[in-house]
Amino acid sequence: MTEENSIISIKGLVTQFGKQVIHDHLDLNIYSHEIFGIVGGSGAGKSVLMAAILGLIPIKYGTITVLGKHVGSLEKIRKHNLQSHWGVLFQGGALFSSLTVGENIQIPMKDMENMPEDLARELAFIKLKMVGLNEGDFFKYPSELSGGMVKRVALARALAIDPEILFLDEPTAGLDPISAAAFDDLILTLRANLNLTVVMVTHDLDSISRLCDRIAVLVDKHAIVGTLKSLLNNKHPWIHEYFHGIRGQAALSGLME
Amino acid sequence: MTVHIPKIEMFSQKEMLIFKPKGLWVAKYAKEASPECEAVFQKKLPSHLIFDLGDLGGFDTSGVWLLQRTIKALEQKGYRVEIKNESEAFQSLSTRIDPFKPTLDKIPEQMSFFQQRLLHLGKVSVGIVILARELIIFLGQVTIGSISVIFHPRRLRLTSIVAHIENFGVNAIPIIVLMSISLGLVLAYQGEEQLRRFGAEIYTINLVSISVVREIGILITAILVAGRTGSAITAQIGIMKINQEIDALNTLGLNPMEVLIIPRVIALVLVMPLLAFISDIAGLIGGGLMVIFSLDISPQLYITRVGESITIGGFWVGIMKAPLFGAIIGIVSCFEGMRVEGTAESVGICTTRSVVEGIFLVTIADALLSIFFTNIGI
Ligand SMILES: Nc1ncnc2c1ncn2[C@@H]1O[C@H](COP(=O)(O)OP(=O)(O)O)[C@@H](O)[C@H]1O
Ligand SMILES: [Mg+2]
Repeated sequence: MTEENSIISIKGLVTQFGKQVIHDHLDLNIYSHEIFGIVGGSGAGKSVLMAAILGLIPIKYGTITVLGKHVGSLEKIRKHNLQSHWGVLFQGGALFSSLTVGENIQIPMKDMENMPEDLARELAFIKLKMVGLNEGDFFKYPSELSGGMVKRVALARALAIDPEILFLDEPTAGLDPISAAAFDDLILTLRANLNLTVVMVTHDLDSISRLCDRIAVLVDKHAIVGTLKSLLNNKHPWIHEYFHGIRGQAALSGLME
Repeated sequence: MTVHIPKIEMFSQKEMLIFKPKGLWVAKYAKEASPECEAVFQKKLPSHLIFDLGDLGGFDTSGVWLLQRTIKALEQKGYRVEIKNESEAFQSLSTRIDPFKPTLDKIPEQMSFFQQRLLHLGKVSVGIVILARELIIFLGQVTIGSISVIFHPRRLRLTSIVAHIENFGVNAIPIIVLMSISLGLVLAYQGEEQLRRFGAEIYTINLVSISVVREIGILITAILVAGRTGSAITAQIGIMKINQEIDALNTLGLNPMEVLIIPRVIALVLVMPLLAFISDIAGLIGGGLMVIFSLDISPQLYITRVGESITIGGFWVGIMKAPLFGAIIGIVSCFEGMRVEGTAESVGICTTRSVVEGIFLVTIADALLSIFFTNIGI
């Protein structure tokens, strides 16, 4: 693959909160139609990286290109109407607390002028079922949901308009193992059928080994990118510990032999 | 661009009818796609139908669902529908959707306008009674909590009280001074206009000083504090409740009553008399500015006359109300904060109610006290 194929390309990204540098000249290319994993320790800057791509925090230096458009600020993203090309699942769900589950899922469709109302409602319902929730949940409010259910509704909302790029921040954290596996299946089907590119922050080694084509490890304010196989042989102490620690070995035992 | 617009072309073939969807069946063009599907039903159809999906330009869940919905409806009407040239992606997406039958008929029935109004009236009336009951219970809880804290002063959160005093009191001084001065000015100006007709304009000083010290100073302070501090307390406690911070306190063995509510109420009780006093002074200065210029008297004379017209009793009537009003505002705003449930909207509703109820109760209390003090002759 070459840089021309990249759907997201980041060059020399520097982000900073006050004096604390989070990313120091980070480079990253994400190709069309791949499932791209981002891992790293807590506080390594995974969520901040996503926020930078989405234009939610100011970037200090560097360029970010999404779908061939220069982004880096909300104004530019609005100008190119990129919001209708991506769906985002935030780490905390970020559901609108005063709207029902059904209304939450319909929000991105409302934004799309001229979606007939009955269709929007039915599609919201389909997405709700796709992520494994029941009809009864359609009229509930977010405050009436469990943590795992919030995640699923947030995913349904991110999928509402069948975006080209799906950003997921720790989608399976807080889900039971069966739901997490079902989630992996869902992502694989959607990718196969909808030409989806998925960028996901995750710590779930099972998800990583099943889903991710390539992985970026955020260490020392940089991204080390590779396939799972190549990262398994990486000598960086954190990466080694991550994949070869007790949990890593348990999850990846099939791959290691 | 016309190539993208979804369309269904139809061909007759023997006694069959072939539907050929073309274009992009995606959410962006749902508005165009949806009538195309409805148009299918307008035609007189033979019993055997074929959907040829070979020319489908592109699709997403919305397109798949639209076509699937149409096919299902046709099948339900007894037509035989055959699907041809279905791509693998279409099939796998459509099997994912297949078992989901949106059953959304459960939307509650609409009532008539009259019924709705009646229901609303009933709900509001019962709501007021329940509100009063809950408020009284809360008042009891705060009282008991305060008494137990007084007997165990170790549990009194001094640091937090001091911080609240700075927030609620010190930081409120500028706005209270500003408002009181302008009210004093207005009062003196209007009073003098009227009294001049009787040649009694010198009594403007009595008018200003008595009304400011007895009523206006404390009332304007209470209204400003209810709007400024009461709303802040409600919003803060409400958001803590939404974030489960209150639950966290409870599980950590910390009583929200002692940690959050009592320090705020105590801070308001302590701070209100001081604010009322500052407001009195500022009001008198405002009135004085007007009187000194328009009646052309010296500041010394103004001060002497003010001193003569305010009795010690009158001064205390004003100041004594302050702690009571502080308690009312504190308790109401904490109460409303604890009533927040779940949504961001509920924070808004409770904050509004906190200010409205606070000012309402303060006004009622003030009226009752006014009658009481006048009757006992102060
Ligand atoms: N809004 C913010 N203001 C200041 N610092 C922040 C902010 N958001 C994140 N940070 C800091 O940036 C670093 C990376 O955070 P984050 O990307 O959320 O971590 P993670 O990789 O666990 O998602 C952390 O040290 C965090 O303290
Ligand atoms: Mg994070």
